[in-house]
Amino acid sequence: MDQYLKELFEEMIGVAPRTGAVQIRYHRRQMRNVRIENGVLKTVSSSLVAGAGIRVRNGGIWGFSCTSKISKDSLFQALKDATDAAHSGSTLKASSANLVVFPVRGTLSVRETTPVNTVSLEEKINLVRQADSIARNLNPKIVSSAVSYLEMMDDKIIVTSYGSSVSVHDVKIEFRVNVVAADGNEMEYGTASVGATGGLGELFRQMKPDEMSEHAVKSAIDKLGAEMPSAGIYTVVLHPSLVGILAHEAIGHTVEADMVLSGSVVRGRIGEKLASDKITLVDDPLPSRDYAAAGVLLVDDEGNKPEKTTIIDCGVLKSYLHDAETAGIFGVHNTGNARAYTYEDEPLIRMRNTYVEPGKDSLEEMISSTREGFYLEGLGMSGQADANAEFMFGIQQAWKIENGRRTKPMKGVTISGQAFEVLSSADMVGTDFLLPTGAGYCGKHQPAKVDGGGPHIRCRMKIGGAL
Amino acid sequence: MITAHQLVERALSSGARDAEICRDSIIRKEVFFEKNEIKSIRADERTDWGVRAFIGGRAGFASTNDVSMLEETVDEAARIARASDDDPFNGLPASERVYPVSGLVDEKEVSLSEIVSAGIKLVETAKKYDARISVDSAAFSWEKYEVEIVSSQGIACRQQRTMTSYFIMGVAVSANDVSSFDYSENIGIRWDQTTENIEKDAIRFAKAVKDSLGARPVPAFTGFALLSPETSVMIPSLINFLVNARNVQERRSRFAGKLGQKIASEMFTLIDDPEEPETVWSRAFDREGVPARKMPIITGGVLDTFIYDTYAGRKHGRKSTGHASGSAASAPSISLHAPKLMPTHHLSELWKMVERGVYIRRFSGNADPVSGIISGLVKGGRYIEDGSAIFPVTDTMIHLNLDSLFNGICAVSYEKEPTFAGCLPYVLVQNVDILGK
Repeated sequence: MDQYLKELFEEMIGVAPRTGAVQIRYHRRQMRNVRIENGVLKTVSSSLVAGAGIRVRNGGIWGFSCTSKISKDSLFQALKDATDAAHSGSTLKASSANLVVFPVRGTLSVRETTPVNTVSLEEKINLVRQADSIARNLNPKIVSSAVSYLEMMDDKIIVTSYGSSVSVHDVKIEFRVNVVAADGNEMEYGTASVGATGGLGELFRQMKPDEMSEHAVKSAIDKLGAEMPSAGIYTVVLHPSLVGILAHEAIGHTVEADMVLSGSVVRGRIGEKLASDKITLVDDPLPSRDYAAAGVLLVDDEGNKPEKTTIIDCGVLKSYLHDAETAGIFGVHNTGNARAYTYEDEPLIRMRNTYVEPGKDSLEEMISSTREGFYLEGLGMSGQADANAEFMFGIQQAWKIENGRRTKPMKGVTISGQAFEVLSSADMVGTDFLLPTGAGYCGKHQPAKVDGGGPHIRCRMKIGGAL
Repeated sequence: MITAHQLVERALSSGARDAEICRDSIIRKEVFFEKNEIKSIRADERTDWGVRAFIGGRAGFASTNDVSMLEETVDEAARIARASDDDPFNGLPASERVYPVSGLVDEKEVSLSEIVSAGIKLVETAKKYDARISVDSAAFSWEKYEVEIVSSQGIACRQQRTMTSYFIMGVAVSANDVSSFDYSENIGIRWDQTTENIEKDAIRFAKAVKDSLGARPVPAFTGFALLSPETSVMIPSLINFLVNARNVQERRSRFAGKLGQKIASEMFTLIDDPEEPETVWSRAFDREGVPARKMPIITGGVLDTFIYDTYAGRKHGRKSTGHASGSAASAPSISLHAPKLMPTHHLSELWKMVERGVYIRRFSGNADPVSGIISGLVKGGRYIEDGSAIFPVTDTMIHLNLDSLFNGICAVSYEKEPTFAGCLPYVLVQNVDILGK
């Protein structure tokens, strides 16, 4: 199949108009989902989505069409539709930059320990059932539980007019434990989640299912009866989960070159010092410290090689994140950040694994040298950041720090501020390293599997709470 | 081409006692703008098939968009059912008469060039409004959608709908200031009616971002929050979670045990109205083929009902209320279809009621239906005194809980705007903690 499609796609490119570039991407995704709520198996499902997305560039305009019918006739029709669409807009763009490409050829595959297709459906159901059982029985105040497992097996073939010809096999996998604890009228939510690239071995590399159940239960129970903070600006120690969220949501989106061109806060500021000199921030398709991070990308969806990109180096803004087109506009290397969620999505500039490099401080030193503040871990129900790097995130777990000690748990904590101001206030950066946000998705017109993290960081930011 | 009825038969011959096929098909044309210019133009179509198979109380679901894999997908659903647990509440609804909703289809065939022209008008109108406007992205799309549900319980229903929609989002950029990000959107059945709002919506977006330049925080106080329709989306979203019978049954909803009780201000009445003609939120039947009907959810602050699909209904010993939701690509979940907040005052009266408060164009934050805590940033907001907007605000948070939100509703406007969650009004809420720097 791979070879047949590669040859067919080469043939299509051979007959496409020589006006710009052509990208043909076949993408087959097989998903399986298991969900148990309060001991009852609620969902076992499987889905198969497959098709080809074709982009044709003419006069700087991309024409796009896609088809789920993988026949020669349907594919040639989709190529014609994409060509016609590009042609219909070709006079509407003032200028057209050259594409900067780094085409990949060959066959690529992610590393899988205990691959998902070697584990039976019954075993997967049992894995979920056991985690749910532990969560429900750890504490009588747990009134509701839901545990879910999701696997997503992707096989792609990408052939382009500029020389890419690559087959890639990728597997993303997730496991979540959610609980609700109640005491009288008070209800609190607790969660633990992991995500990875690879098999079940990679999925549980940071936390085992029983540990996840314990973590979710503790986070919900701790909040029952906890106080809410008084609003104000505080010293906070951020767990790597929140460092990852800050790096991705509040900084990462502002340096996506399409956002930069639209006027993000970092436009024209390459070379400026925007953060503490303790901060080095990276977007990495294949982190050497964690090959199983959920945002692993072996080839981008324009068929180009993804590069490790240092965005901020010791506080100085060094690079934006690019696809082939924006690299041409800025006259720089293509960082290989073009990603599409399914065959029917067009590639957009998206992050991969975005993290802060470790520093020289220990977590113990950060807490012991803080007189008053908060230790914060995990994203709450939601978070959002804007092109001006203003952000607001809900916090899953928070503890007060008093006189150098982590003391009582808090609830209802939100954090907000301007991300570059917050990173400028970072005065301690941990020696530890974790990429713990891989169960989540980035949303920018279409989902993308990403990961993020780094070490613990101490900085100052606004905590929301009651008056 | 194999039919849905034939696929049901195939499932039964694979060992299923009951089976349901849901097919949805979409034809779509779209122009997408990025960084003030056209990025791409697309035209495509897609069909998904979802199969539910039941063997006694065991249920399996499988879906595909690959027509060559339909029979394998049916077999896979039956295979999954065999591996699943026996649950007595699993099963399909009986067939009921479905009454069509009128005006869901615009017969006009829209061309790609018409869509491109409309999109250019949207973006150019915003850019011409002020040189500082920067359009991050915008899209103009037209689609024709069809859903069909066929089951072994005699359900056989089909519905079509057309939709024209657009959005524009971005910021205003001046020398040393980037405004709050903002957007404008519209959605409708008919091409002509929807596109006549392009200029108005482009200017609404441009004015919103321009007016939020030079924003500053407000001091901390307790006052009124005037929610825009985009922010009011929070209210039906929270209600949707709280009245979902599965969340009630699984003890995730704070509304459990509160049927017939007062849970909100007398000014708060919410109905679900999927029967209204000519709206994109309307539908004749739900994801299981059960008729979708107009239904009061909260009346004068009193909780009238929870919403059910067949599974949750059986668990409560009652019928589905026709609120199964989702696409063919997923097993049914539960959701309101077309929530409406009933009006009490005109928008001008809402403004006059505000002695001191903030107008919240967008809310960026947490609205947690479990803990009940609502906390987040005011985006594109204005500080209000004595009914007048005084200055744009930034770095300002609001903080309240579910009870104070629902009980604090003191007025709902007649004026409404289309959002992707429904056509929603402005809502005035009192006693909100507003936290500036």
